[in-house]
Amino acid sequence: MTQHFKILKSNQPGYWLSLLLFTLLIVAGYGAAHYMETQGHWVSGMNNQIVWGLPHVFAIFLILAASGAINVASLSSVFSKQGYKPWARMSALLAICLLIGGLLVLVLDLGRPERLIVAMTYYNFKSIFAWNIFLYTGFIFVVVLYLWTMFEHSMNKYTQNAGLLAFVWRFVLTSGTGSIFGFLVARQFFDAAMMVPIFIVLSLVLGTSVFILVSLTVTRWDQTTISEETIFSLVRLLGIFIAAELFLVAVFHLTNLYATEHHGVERFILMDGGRYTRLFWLGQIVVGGMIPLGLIFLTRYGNKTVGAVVVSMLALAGSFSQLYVTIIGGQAYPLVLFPGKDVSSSFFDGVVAHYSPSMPELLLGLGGFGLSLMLLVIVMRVLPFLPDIRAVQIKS
Amino acid sequence: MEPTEIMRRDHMNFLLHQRDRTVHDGIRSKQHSLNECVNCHVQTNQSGEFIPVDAPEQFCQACHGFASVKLDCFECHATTPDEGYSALDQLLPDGHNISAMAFFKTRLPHQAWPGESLSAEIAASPSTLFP
Amino acid sequence: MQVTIKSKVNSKRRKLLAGAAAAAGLSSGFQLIELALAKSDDEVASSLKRWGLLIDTEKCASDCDACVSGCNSEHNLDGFDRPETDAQWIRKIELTDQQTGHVSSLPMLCQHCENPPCVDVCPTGASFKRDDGIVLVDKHICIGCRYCVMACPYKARSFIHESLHDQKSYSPRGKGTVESCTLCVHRIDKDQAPACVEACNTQGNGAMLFGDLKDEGSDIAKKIKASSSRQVRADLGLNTGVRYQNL
Repeated sequence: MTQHFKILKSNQPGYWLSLLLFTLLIVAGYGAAHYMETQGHWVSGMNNQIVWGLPHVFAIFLILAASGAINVASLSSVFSKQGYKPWARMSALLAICLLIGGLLVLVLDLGRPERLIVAMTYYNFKSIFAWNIFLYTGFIFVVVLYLWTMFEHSMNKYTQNAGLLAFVWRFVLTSGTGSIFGFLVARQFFDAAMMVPIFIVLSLVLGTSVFILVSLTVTRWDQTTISEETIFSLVRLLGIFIAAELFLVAVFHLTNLYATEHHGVERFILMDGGRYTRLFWLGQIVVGGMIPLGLIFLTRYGNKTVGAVVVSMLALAGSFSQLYVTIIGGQAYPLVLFPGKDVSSSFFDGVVAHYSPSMPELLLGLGGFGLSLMLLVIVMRVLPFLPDIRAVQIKS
Repeated sequence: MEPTEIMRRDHMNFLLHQRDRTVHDGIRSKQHSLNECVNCHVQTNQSGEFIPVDAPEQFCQACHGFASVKLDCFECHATTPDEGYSALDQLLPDGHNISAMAFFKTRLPHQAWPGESLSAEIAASPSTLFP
Repeated sequence: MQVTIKSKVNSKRRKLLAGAAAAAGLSSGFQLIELALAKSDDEVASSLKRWGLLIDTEKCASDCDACVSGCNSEHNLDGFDRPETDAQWIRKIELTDQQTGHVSSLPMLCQHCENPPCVDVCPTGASFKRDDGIVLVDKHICIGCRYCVMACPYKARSFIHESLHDQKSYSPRGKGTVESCTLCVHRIDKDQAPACVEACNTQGNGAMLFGDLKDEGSDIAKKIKASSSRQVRADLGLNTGVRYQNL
């Protein structure tokens, strides 16, 4: 029984409305990037204290979702879970599209985006950023290779090998992304090896949620089905990943709390941080962790399509909050240069840094999202990525 | 500074090479220094103030505008000599100096010399500049 | 006979002149040697030197910011009245001891570390350390990613958030790149002290001492050897070029 694939075709109003939305987001995103580049970053909310803001939260969100989205394909190629095999193609494509969107947001936010060619020709290999440039572009090549083995009938026997390569590469990529923060000795919230596993599991949460939402949406547009078994096993997987993430976050904070040196930053995040504390407890732990876990494992809600959508969206919201708290909260807490002394200066030493996300930043981030999804739809409209489930069912 | 034909074609290469020597090695020789280019090629307006060298109709744009190649240098680099610098003092310390020849050569054919009155004098008796 | 007398006078004068000439020659010879030691335009910055600062926080007064104004005027750092995004290369920090209440003040600037975290993280290598120890940004290849700003433990780096005009010819700075204290590298290459040090010595309290840390005969090396000084955040093992006394 061979699986047939088809291109995405839809006349549903939801389909056209979504395309319109993606287009608007892309245009707005580009406009925002152009505005920030020509005026200079003073028009954004970022400043010398918080140098990475909302665009970076979106970018890392998309990049982690990309490396997690390919997990479905990995489950079939590497772990031989045959039930996911029909979805391997779309999973790989989704990974590429999300990565491109995330990278574009990062590049457009640079102070000098036109110097991208410099970034691709001058390398300092002691910098994890330089390695990441290779990891990210290499990932796209590896996944394209993987897709080729799936599309080209004579190459099907290499799919497992290509899948393994993609799986390993994606792990290294996510570790590299986590290391961007983990290697910063200066910042109290970041210098931890825990950043790497936290980011890896977070990518699994993100990737699985995005995949669930995307697969439910495209099958609804195209009026094909995705088997309930597939969706709900993914939902259960999502539950496991969320639980693992909560565990890692707990270990991170508890070990931090053990060292008196880190009490200041922990107190900030867990108690005194205002917006960051709310996002941590309400966003990351409750909305992103406890509620979805409860829905999946304690109720029957997780076994309904609506439940799958709700749980995925909650997980996305929680992950977004986690990235916001990590990236921005970690920068907001002041550097401790003189332990045991209160400091003040004209350069905001000793005070929690102020940051309000601005509209251009939000539009740039959303533009990246829009681009990823638009790219996905365009490619699926042209090449057969969608498994023809009805054809299979009829045959059997 | 190199002969005009070489400068026209290769000035970018000289700058690319010199910038690494200056920034990374601290070599500040004047031959290919961007500041020296500005110091000679900058013009003054009628009040004697320096006009930014990358402004429209000035030295750089005379070619770059035609070739439609955007200049990046002056995003960071100064477009006028520092305060207290006078190109005229440099080149014509006692009113007539052989280095005025260099000054001549830095003007494009259609560019005016700084100071209208000087132009009038030169128009009247150019030989005062070349004893 | 006239000739003899003349020649006697002449010979004395000659000796005098010869002696004077010899003295002049020797002194100008020394001067030439000094000039030869001084860095010429074509000379490469050498790793035989390491430039550093020694700051005496006892002498530093809370109400004095001569170093900051000196730096700002040297490099035209006048901001846009937007303290959150305006660049600051050197700043005064006021410290109050949480236990004793003792108040002190010191200038904080790029520490010109020997193992700079900002250099490690820069993806293009724009953030680099010159052979004589000065940490700089090569703005020709800076892409403005701000990773170095995140990485610096001293918050020494600033990102330029708007278009700039009226730069000084010796201090290029522009929108979209990152910058920090250059230790007035353009002055050092002409054998002058950084602007902050000069301002502190002329208008401030003489708290800052500049010199070559590797030259055992220099004032700074002698003082560091004689009295106790420390680095800020010595625990990071960066071996900073800026050290503080009485902290």
